[in-house]
Parts: sequence; C-alpha cells; structure tokens
Amino acid sequence: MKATKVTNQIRTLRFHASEMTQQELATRIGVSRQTIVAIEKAKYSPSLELAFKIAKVFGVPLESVFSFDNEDKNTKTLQEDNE
Amino acid sequence: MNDSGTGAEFRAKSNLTALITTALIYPSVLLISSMGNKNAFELAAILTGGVILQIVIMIVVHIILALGTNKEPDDERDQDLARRASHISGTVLTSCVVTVLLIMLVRAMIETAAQGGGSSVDLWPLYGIFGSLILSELVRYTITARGYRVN
Repeated sequence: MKATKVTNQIRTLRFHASEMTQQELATRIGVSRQTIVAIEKAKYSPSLELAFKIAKVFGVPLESVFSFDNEDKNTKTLQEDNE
Repeated sequence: MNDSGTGAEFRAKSNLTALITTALIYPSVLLISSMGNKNAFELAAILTGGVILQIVIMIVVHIILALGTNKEPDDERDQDLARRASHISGTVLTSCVVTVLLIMLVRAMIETAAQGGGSSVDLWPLYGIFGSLILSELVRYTITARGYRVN
C-alpha cells in the first residue's frame, strides 16, 4: 500500500505514555495491533472516528496526533483567497 | 516499547493460504480436465475434487493457525482491505465474464451460419450469464443511488 499524506506522532506519544505498547493502544481503541502498526507507518489513514479515539487515549487534541501534508496547490485557505 | 511482531496475524495468514491453494489447485484442475476427452460427469468430478481439496486444506490450516495465532475481530482496516480487494476482483470477474460471453456469442453465430441459418446451438448459458451480469449491474447502480441520497 502506498503511504498516505496523513502523518502522526503516535509512536512518540506512546513512548511518553509510560511506553505504552502497540497492543495496549490497539486494545484500548478496539482495533488489531497490525492496524496500529499500519497507522504509525503511515500506510493506512484511520477513519475520523478512530483518529478521535486515539487522540482521546493520549488526552491531546487531534492535531497533536495527526498532521496532513497538503501538496495540492489547488487547495487554498480562506486567507489565501482573500489576498 | 516492546513492539516486536511475530509475523502476520491470523487473517493475513488465512488469506495467504487461500491465495496459494487457489493458485495451485484450480489451474491444475483446468489442466487435468483439458487432457483427453472428458465427459460432463468426469469434469464435474474433477472440479468437485478440486473444491473439496481446497476446503480440506483451508480447514486444516485454519485449525493450525487458530492454535498458534491470536485471532482478533475485524476492524476498519480489515474491512477496508476486503472492500478494496472485492472491488478489484469484481472488475476482473466482470471483464472475464464479458469476454467469455462475447466468445460464446461469436461462436454461436459462426455455428449458426455454418448450419445455414438453422440453429441447434444451445443459447441458454449465454442468457444465463448475460442475465447475471445485468442483475449485478442493477444491484450496483441501486446501491450507489441509495448512497447518493442524503435525505
């Protein structure tokens, strides 16, 4: 599977959460460990629901967990539109 | 962080087993059935044997996997993978069926022409396959139409 444009800090957050294992995180949010592996490697983009669950486990905002690398020049912000 | 994996999970191994058995058994079935002049009963017996062999292998492998691997329930990634695979395999199936349908139709037309317009060619398989294709397309468009409805 090709890599997604959604990157994440899950591995770092797990380390800072008393070195939580992938299996522990998987069990908490109800997915398989392989899914956590795929998400961490940016091979799979989780659904919005799953992304929120992950953020909730670590007690941080969604954007602290996931970031989107938008190289699409057709997508402009409202600010760019007004300039 | 102890995250060392011991390999693919149950579902991935099961899928790999299905891939290997399908790739080995059914081409062999086709090869055996194409050797010599086989009647319909012999063809049915060969095909049934191939299917039973695959089922038995899958059951044995699943038992072995269940003993040695933790089977976790389907999650969204498993469903996403299954949906994607189903979509692509469906496209392949439709393409192959349409190709076979066209070959059957052309062959029937040639045989009809060779018989001077009279037809002893059995066309019901053609109607069956064509009808099945139409039905599957109707299901696809219906599901898509329902999906587009937001009210």
